[in-house]
Amino acid sequence: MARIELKNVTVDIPLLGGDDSNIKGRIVRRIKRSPKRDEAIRALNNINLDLKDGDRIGLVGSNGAGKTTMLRVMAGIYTPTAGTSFIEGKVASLFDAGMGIDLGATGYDNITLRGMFLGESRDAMDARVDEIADFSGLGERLHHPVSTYSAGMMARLGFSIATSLDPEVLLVDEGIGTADAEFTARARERLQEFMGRAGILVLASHSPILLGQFCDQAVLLEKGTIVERGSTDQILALQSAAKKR
Amino acid sequence: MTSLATPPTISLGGQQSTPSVAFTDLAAGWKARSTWRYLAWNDVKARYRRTVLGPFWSSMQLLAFVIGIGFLYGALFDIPRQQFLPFVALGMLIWQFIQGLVTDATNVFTRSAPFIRSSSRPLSLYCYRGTTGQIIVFLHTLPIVVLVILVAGLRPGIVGICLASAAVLAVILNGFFLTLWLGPLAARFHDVPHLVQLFMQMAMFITPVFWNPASLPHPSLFVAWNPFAWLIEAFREPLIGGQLMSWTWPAIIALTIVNFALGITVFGRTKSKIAYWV
Repeated sequence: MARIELKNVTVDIPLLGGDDSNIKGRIVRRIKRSPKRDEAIRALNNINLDLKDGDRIGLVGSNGAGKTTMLRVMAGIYTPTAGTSFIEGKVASLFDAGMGIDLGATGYDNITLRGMFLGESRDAMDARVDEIADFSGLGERLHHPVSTYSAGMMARLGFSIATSLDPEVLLVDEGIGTADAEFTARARERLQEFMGRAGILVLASHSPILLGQFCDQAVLLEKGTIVERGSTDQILALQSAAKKR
Repeated sequence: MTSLATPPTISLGGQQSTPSVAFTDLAAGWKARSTWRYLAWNDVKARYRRTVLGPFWSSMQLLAFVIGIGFLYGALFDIPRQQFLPFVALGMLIWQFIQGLVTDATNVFTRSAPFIRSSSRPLSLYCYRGTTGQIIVFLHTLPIVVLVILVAGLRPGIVGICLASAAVLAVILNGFFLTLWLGPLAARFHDVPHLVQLFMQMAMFITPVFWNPASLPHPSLFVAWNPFAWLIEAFREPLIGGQLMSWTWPAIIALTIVNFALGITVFGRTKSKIAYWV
């Protein structure tokens, strides 16, 4: 049984690059008794969303609308600044294939590592390592540190690991297009099967084709707020209308 | 595929007390033992990849230091080497461990950023990882202790060895608690790791690592009020047959309690923010 429940979720992301946010800035503010807080952007604003088993939902919106932040909240990575998030079921996220990869470790070590991070036991990963290695098509290179891989090879590895699992909640953030073409054909097949297995699928994408293929409903995000929720076609039409305006 | 009796649930946000946030995370992190053990071994392997000696390089470093300073001080101050060498070797050994733990505590989270930003695993996992990595390196320097004890003909006895082991345990506990508050602090303020490095460099000279506090003309505050000195003495004295101050262990216990309280407070309050900071 998988479930995601976001209640009045607001997320402020601190901007720590500025001079104001280092130790000096903090002390100066304390001395001046300035009420100013750390600078932050409101990435999500009062989001309410309830997802149940069988939901296939697309996240639609322009850059900076809050799609990635929303996925991170759903993955349990970000704690909402206000409101609550509740996630039930084993979550796998495919945000960026290179994520959570330890560059110093070998390809094989990374397979085990990544699997363990996604909640698998060591034994379960040991049993599956050959199948994953095979699909990645990286062969002997898996004995070498990942730092020696090209970007495409790294994407292959990350993708092969993530899609070998059986998650109940699957969160996907575009960016699946880094691997080379031969791999992509096989990858598409595998992805299709993979997405079909998951209880809940959330897919953030700009591609109407991808969204139409995998999602039956969608949510339109704008500046961190849900503007509309409806069928994928309806939301895509709404978005293109908003763009024309 | 492993099947789970109860589906894993994550519930974030809302009102939760600071200590309960910290303890829940610490317990969940402890359950993920296999993950951080694996990570810690990987860290050590990565650091010494393509080297012949592997982690034993840290023992070589120690050996070189002890030999060097043994000759220098022997020539400078005319101290009998039979006494001086084990003193420096054991002091330096435990100091290296302490220093490793303290400096590593500042980057437990920043170093693990790719993992933190892509999974919802408990954050204490990275604290356990850091401390375990340091323990593994420390264990590789243990042969030096045995070597020193044998060569210098020390007879610490069972009691001495137990006391020294207790000191090592205190170092490990304090090192771990340190990651809980220094880690988040360093993730938020990037000046902290540099500050700590600078501080540890100074600390090495004012702490009786390779000089004997007994040789000071006056009892020094640097020794009496220096937690590093307490830990070093608690480890070294029982092995070389010296006497511990009566307050050394009470002081260490107090230190551990303060460190623990600080760790729980800071970690509990910052846990929800670390993913935004790294």
